[in-house]
Amino acid sequence: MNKIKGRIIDELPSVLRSMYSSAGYSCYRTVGFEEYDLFSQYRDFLTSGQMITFTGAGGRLLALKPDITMSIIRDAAEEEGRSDKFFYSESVYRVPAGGDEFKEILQIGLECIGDLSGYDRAEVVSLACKTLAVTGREYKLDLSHTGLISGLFDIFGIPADDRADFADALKDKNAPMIALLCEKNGISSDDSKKLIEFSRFSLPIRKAVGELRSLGFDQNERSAEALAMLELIANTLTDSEAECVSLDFSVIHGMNYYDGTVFAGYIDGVAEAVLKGGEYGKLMKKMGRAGSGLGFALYTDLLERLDDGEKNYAADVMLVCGNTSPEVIAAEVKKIRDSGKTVLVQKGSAGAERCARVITLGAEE
Amino acid sequence: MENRKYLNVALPKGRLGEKVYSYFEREGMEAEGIHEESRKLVFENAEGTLRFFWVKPSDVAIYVERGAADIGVAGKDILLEYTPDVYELFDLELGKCRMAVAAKNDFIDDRSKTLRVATKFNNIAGQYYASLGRRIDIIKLNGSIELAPLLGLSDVIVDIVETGSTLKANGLVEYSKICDISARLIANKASMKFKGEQIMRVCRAFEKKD
Repeated sequence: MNKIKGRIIDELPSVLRSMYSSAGYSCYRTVGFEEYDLFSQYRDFLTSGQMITFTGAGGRLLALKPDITMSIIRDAAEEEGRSDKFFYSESVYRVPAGGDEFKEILQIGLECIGDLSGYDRAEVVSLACKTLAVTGREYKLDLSHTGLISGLFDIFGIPADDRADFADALKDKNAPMIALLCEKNGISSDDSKKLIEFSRFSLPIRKAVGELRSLGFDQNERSAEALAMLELIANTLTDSEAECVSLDFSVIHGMNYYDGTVFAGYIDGVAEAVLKGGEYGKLMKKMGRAGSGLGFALYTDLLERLDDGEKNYAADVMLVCGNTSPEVIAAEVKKIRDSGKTVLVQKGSAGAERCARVITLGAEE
Repeated sequence: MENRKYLNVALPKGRLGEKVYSYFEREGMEAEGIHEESRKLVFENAEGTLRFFWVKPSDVAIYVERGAADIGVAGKDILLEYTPDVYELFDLELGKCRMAVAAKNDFIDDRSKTLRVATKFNNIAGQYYASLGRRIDIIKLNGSIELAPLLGLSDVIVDIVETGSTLKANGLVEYSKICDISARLIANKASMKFKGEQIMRVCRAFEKKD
């Protein structure tokens, strides 16, 4: 697999494009803005519900794209036995989670939409692993399934009205909140402790499936189906990928839109999830589309600081030319370039710190 | 990576942080020179596996959310006010107090008027009154909140109440409790993926603290 050797943020798009193409994914390009209505009806699917809007020439209300997924869903074909596979590398405009101002963010991701097979689903998870791996850093992908969470709630008899609160508590591994909610719902202290342990559950995917079966999760219809899907994914991943994928009950995306596998990816050195994805069949249904969809997005803005510590020179060599003739300068530039180095030519030495080395023509090095 | 070597722990300056640190000491996870008078801000243990630093209590959650610290101890008031994206692993049951509404002894809530609320905790106050469907005007203050109703700046205050003695000394009474507050062990979400075992070891040690 290709691994990035230079600056991650510069090389990532081309490396990923080539990887996604090799898996049969086609490039999807959008215009920078769309009808506001496309996004406004499903705004809680977005990281932030806020959008930059403006009135188009024809008086229609438009929005700079806060997300790509909905455009792709709208454009995908609906045919039995067919899945459309697209990748994109596009700017989106939104307020990042926890932020207070709009940002232009380069988002790279892919979507697999239509009549999905088990392999399609496993392939997306595998591509998510490969996406994280190309950074050359240690990575982890936390995986869960909405059916597993529903099964967990069924097993412990969590009332329907309180499931959203329990889901929030699981998402933050919030033991005090789980204990409080259990007390409120008359759930025994033993079960409360077990639920807290499940909030902390994190095991490599292959081991986790067996562990959850032994804990009775295959007795519940929804969690049994979820476990079968997770097992299929685990068995399709390579051994090294499976080692980096953990089952973790804290991966919970919007329960109104997702209805299958959900995941979040982390790279060593970045303080939050850099990749998020999942199966959004409920969103498809709300948008009036047949079939299901699964995809992920990589938030490249979070990768900017991965190259910290490495000097980002404008060029390897600054060639200070003074009044030297252009022919001599050109010959010197060719010599430096031929040696595999980059060169910046300028008259004087001002700003020399931008380059790793300075050569002054007509002077001793 | 240098940071991978250590479990970075952000402790709140003051009595609470010292009490929490004593649990680390009891578990044999102490740092050299931490009790000595000095201007040093960062302390490491002899094995080079733990690194402690003291920060302003209200900043602990930011250090943890941004990954500068892997774990930290923050008050539930700070977590409710700033809602950092962190794991809230354990209630240390230290620094127990409550978030409450207080007012002058003779305060009568007039529902026909907008309620003026002085507080340091805009979000907590805003959410509390939104849940009651009450129209309010929040007056953000940074200290001496009790002064606001006395000088007619606000009708009520939303603030932390420990014993109630400060309220009493200023002729104020607790009007209603919003929620209980105590110190929580929090963890950075990405750190849990790469240093999960170390973090859970600390969490389990705290769970058996008594």
